[in-house]
Amino acid sequence: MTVLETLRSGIARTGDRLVEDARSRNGIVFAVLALLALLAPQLVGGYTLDLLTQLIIAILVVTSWIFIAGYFGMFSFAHAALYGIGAYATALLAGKAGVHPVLAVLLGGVVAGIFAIPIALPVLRLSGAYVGMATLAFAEIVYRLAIHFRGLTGGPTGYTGFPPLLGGSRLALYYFVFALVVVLLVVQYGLLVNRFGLVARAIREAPDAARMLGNNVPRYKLVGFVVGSAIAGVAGGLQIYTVLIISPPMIEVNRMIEFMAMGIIGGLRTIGGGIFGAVIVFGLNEGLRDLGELRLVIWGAMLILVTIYFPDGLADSSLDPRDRLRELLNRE
Amino acid sequence: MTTVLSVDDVTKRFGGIVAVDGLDLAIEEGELVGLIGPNGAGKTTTLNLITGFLDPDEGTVSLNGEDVTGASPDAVSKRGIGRTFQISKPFGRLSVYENLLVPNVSCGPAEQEARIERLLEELQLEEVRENRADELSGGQKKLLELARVLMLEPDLILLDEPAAGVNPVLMDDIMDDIRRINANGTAILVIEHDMSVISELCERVVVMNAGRNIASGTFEEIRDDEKVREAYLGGT
Ligand SMILES: Nc1ncnc2c1ncn2[C@@H]1O[C@H](COP(=O)(O)OP(=O)(O)OP(=O)(O)O)[C@@H](O)[C@H]1O
Ligand SMILES: [Mg+2]
Repeated sequence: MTVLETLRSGIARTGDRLVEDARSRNGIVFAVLALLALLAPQLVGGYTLDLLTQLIIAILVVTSWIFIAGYFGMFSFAHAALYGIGAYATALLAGKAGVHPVLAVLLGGVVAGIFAIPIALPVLRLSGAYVGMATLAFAEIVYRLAIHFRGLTGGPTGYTGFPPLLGGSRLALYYFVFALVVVLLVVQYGLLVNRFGLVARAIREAPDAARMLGNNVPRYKLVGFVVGSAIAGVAGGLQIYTVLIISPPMIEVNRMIEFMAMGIIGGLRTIGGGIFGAVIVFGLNEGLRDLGELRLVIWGAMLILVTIYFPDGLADSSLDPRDRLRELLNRE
Repeated sequence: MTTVLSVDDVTKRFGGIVAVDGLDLAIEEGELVGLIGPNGAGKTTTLNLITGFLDPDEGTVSLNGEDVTGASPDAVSKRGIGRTFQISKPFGRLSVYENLLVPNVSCGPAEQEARIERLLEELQLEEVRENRADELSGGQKKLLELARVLMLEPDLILLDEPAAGVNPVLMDDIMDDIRRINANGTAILVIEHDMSVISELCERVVVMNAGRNIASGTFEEIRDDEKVREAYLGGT
């Protein structure tokens, strides 16, 4: 098949699957959420709208982590760092090189994708906990470098010298973020319902067998890691325009743990899990802001409950209590 | 006859252990060969060396006359070698049907579809086609692995202990399948500890011990071979 034919049949399949999935429980939930998101600016404004913008960005980060960790089984701790690299790249390109902010966001994704390559190469050879350790080390290095190179990054206090996106309109920013995130969600969904996603899942289950069946496993993993990381980079670029600063706390390991909690609670088996998880964790986080550090305890408890009662996350489990009980009793 | 697989003077060491020690092994087109030997003789390591999961320290591996020493498993697969694993490696959370979509076939989607339907029927997986692979019995998992390999229509299939963990009734079916696949012209190398399987299936048997090819011949010939008896009695 030519590239064009592959592309055409891939798009056709994406459309078919979208129509099919739209009728499922999750499909209906997501349609309602999307409608609410479109109407939200009529209902709320100001700080609340900024929070919604950040929630939509978080959805993009978590889904792109699921793309890597849930589909391929590469449990990366470097995702928040790559999100941060996208954020710094966008800020510096727009602030110091005079690149148009919209272009800077997209280039932030490209830069994150390029930085993902050196970390992907060891990840291709490792498995299990070693992937976690290698990527955690990378994340720590990025964090230290962001603090160290004051002249470039503004050091511990961060950098604010970049112009706003779309003239600084809150509403325009909201709709821009919404549109770009929807597009990138559909791109990820399209890849994952086609052969790429099938082979990714096969690699997660049994990489040697996938390889022995003629699939170039290292290449799939490299492409998966780079594409997921580039999408996180775009999310980082968007994020700086909602908070108007880029500083090291944005890429701390705590942030990574938050994204992972979102993914695990929502479910790692589908992109939709990222939407569930981000909405729930983000909502709780904001709702319980007054509790301060105590929130971490609540998350911890939630993570434990979900892994016991909903081992596939909320998106991929039936919410009927009878099903939950049945599954709990049948487990080996 | 042309030689499909030729392993020439291959050695593989793991630290102090010489797992494969100057091994010579050849398989001709359409042959059905048994590979036996005590635990730790180096049989699985040999498969890993042939299929590119390990690189030999010395020696060469050729497929259909081409040197493939050091080639990757996917490249070896593209040259017409299929392999199953000693411990089944189903894609557990994928359905049986999806498992059969994973092989990177060179044919178009229509032919791929036809092959899947034919194999589901021939290997009696039709009823479980929508089940998750990790729900299958041990024997069904072996059948699924065989079906996956057959999707690629290889010239040579390497089977690592197809009888392990399979109930005897299903094993008879698997043996019939192996005979039928071989009768269609595919060469097969089968590693097996169950001697009844080897004696019933294989026209030629190769015996490995301590990484070496110590005997080769019909089942009756190697059964009466003094070196083979010694190997199995523990003396090396
Ligand atoms: N990756 C490895 N690292 C270190 N040693 C290994 C490795 N793989 C195999 N070995 C050693 O090499 C030797 C041959 O092992 P191999 O698995 O090839 O034997 P086998 O003939 O398949 O045995 P069995 O019948 O038990 O499956 C053994 O001593 C084993 O411990
Ligand atoms: Mg073995």
